Amino acid sequence: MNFLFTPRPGPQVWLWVLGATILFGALLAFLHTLPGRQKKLLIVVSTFLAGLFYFLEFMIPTTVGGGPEGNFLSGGVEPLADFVLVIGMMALGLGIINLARVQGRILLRMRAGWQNAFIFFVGLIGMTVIGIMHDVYPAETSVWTPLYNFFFTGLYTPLASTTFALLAFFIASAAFRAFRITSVESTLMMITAFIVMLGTVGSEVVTGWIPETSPFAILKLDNITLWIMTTVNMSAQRALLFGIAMGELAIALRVWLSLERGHFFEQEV
Amino acid sequence: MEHATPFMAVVLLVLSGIILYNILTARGGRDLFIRRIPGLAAIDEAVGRATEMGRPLLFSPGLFGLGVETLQALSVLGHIIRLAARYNSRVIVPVCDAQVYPIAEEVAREAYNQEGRPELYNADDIRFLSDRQFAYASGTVGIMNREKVAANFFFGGFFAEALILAEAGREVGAIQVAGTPSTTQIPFLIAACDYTIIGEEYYAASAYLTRDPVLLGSLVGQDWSKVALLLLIFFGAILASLGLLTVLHWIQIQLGMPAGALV
Repeated sequence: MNFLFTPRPGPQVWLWVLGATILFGALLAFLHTLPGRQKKLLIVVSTFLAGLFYFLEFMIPTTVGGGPEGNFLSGGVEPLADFVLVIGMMALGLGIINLARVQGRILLRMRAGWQNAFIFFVGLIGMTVIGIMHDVYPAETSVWTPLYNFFFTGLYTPLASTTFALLAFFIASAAFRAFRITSVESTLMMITAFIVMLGTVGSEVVTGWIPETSPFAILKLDNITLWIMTTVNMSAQRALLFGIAMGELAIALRVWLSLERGHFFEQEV
Repeated sequence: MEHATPFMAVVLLVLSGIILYNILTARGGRDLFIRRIPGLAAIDEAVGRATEMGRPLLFSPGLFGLGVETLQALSVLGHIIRLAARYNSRVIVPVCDAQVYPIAEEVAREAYNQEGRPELYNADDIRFLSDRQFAYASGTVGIMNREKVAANFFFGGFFAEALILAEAGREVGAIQVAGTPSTTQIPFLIAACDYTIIGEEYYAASAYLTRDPVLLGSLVGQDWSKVALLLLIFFGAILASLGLLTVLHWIQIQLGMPAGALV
């Protein structure tokens, strides 16, 4: 198995890529020829086997036929993760085709916003070329390095940071609505938020005069804040997490045993 | 790599057994009750409102990759598209993860087919935008503004972009329903959305919406599993309070069990 997943040096890698492409192309063509029932059976069996592998890998003790890091199945985890990664990369190609189809139609028919579609294609093609060339010629003196730095570090990164910075304004407007006192619950939330905010930034000013050794030290705002965050807030968060964990376990079982397939794969389309 | 301790393995098997038992009995025709969840009941209202206004709906399946959270979101998506298809409404689905994109396409196509309206399926409405968080957020906000969406559904795992999406949706006047297992984003979504489904309610969504016996049974199994976990916590607290954990530690050492096997 490891033979298949060992990185290949030099031009040999291209032969492997070509071989894998032909193999998977043939496999996909074969799968397309299968009748619906057999396709469904294949999905059920492969889902079960993949799930069984991870289930057993987790459940079998590390003392069974493995090294200090795992059992006899643990060696397969990394190659399988690589396999999933490769499938994911193929899906990325599908995503790009979808984007190009949607934007291409807008551009060709000169619909409203065609300028955005044009910029999309310039960005997609330009950044793909620059990114690949930067990887091929990574030297600082290469012409591709400043281009890559300009478009990725100089353009994309600040744009993403600007979008992130918008959060500050959105938090302010959302908080304004959330803290309006309209019910008992919102009043409680307002008071709690006020204490936590004050305890985080202004505790020393308001209750700093209470000595730590005093029996009233529990009334210091930072201590009240700590109690709210570690006792009230944490217990609520953990209660949520328990519910979420049970939900995830249930859906994982349904998917693994194909009890849920009606939602995704049962109907022929 | 993490592996189960004997205790963890037993707990996992028992909880899985409880869930599977309830699924099997529900399949056998057992009648099960599920309480009303306002956030999920609001989905019908939101679709109806969008239909009256003649404007599209937007469904974001979140930023998480292909995992249980996203599969659950896609399950809700299928229901929303079926509803929308009945009323001739359009659903736009911006997708962030390339692996989720073909599955979202398939779910949408299947939902339109189930309602007997395959002609309503428009491949351009299932859009892969970007796998970059804020590029995705910007793209989705752009769609909300350009298409003047009447309703937004945010189901799935979200990060910091949750509030950007929800506030932008509020600005365009859309009715918004959110459901997420991301505990850190729940407060933001509660503040910005009309209805928010939190915690295990998120995983109850497909059972609530479809009333499928398998899903209902699974939901009841989840509840019983939580009862089992609560009992475990309760007895653990009692044992710890009485100092009996030391005894379990001693037994563990005497039996030569690895650390964590019992306590």
